[in-house]
Amino acid sequence: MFAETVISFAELKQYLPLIIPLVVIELILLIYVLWHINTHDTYKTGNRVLWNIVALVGMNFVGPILYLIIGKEDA
Amino acid sequence: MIPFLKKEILEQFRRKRVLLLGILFTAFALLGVATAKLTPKIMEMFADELAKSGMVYDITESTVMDAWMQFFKNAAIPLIVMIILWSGSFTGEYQKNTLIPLVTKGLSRTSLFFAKMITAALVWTAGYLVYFVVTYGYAEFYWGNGGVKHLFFAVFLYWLYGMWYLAILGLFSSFAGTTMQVLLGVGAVFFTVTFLEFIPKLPSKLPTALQNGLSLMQGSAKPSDFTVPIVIVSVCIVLCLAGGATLIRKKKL
Repeated sequence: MFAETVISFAELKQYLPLIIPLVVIELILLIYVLWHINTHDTYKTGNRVLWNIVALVGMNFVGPILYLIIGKEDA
Repeated sequence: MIPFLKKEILEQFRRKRVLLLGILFTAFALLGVATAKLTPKIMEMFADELAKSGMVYDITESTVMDAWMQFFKNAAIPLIVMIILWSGSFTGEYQKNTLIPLVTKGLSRTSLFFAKMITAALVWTAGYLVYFVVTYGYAEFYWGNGGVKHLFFAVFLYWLYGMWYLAILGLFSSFAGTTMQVLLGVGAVFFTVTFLEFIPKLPSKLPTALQNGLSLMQGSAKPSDFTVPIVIVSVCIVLCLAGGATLIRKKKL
């Protein structure tokens, strides 16, 4: 369907300065949150299985941020 | 007051709030620029589909204004997250009775109130600064900020808008019993202002006018148009802080 409008490599290169930091931040956040979920036993709401699923399903920022706001216990 | 202020700021690091907000502000700045940059490309991809259904879309290159439009549109989300995070700043401590030892040891309630408010203001300022610097950097890189008028003033307006919410948050925190009451109070103010916007001629004078930094950048508004909302918001902030500092003295901790 998109045969004639595929983004060429030259065009893609233009977007790399935006895409790379986004992906890096996403991954750092995801790894940190997964580590936190699995090394703590109590949460403000929910349980370990739930938070693992939420973090993985919503890994484009939404899941990890939700966990940090309403899942992670205040130290 | 200074040791308490230090403790409050340290707490923001220990609770990973600095990490969370730093990531949030950076991510939204990046997403805003990405949206501005990619929208014409995406529309181009779907142009054939849209043409079949009878829609004709003029493909225009994105401009620096699109990036700043996203900047002001997206800024609300980190601000809301910040309000939610700070809504329990006082009430959480009331419920855990953790302020009593400090007050009985001689910390004045006024310093207690202002230390918390200064911390919130510092975090908002730092986060917003990150948000601005990232957007500015990418806008400069992709389009150049040459054509943007009153850039810093427009950006300052939204910062003030955020400070206004934090001051209201402080006022409600000084007498509310639970976090939910604080959030409801801030929500009530938000809905009142939104409702007032329906009254003709009033919107340009309300605090919400401060969100319209974009019109300033495009040149359709001049800085003097914002004098009234800036004065109103500044008076509001001072009143909220004075009210909060007074009410917290009567509060049963």
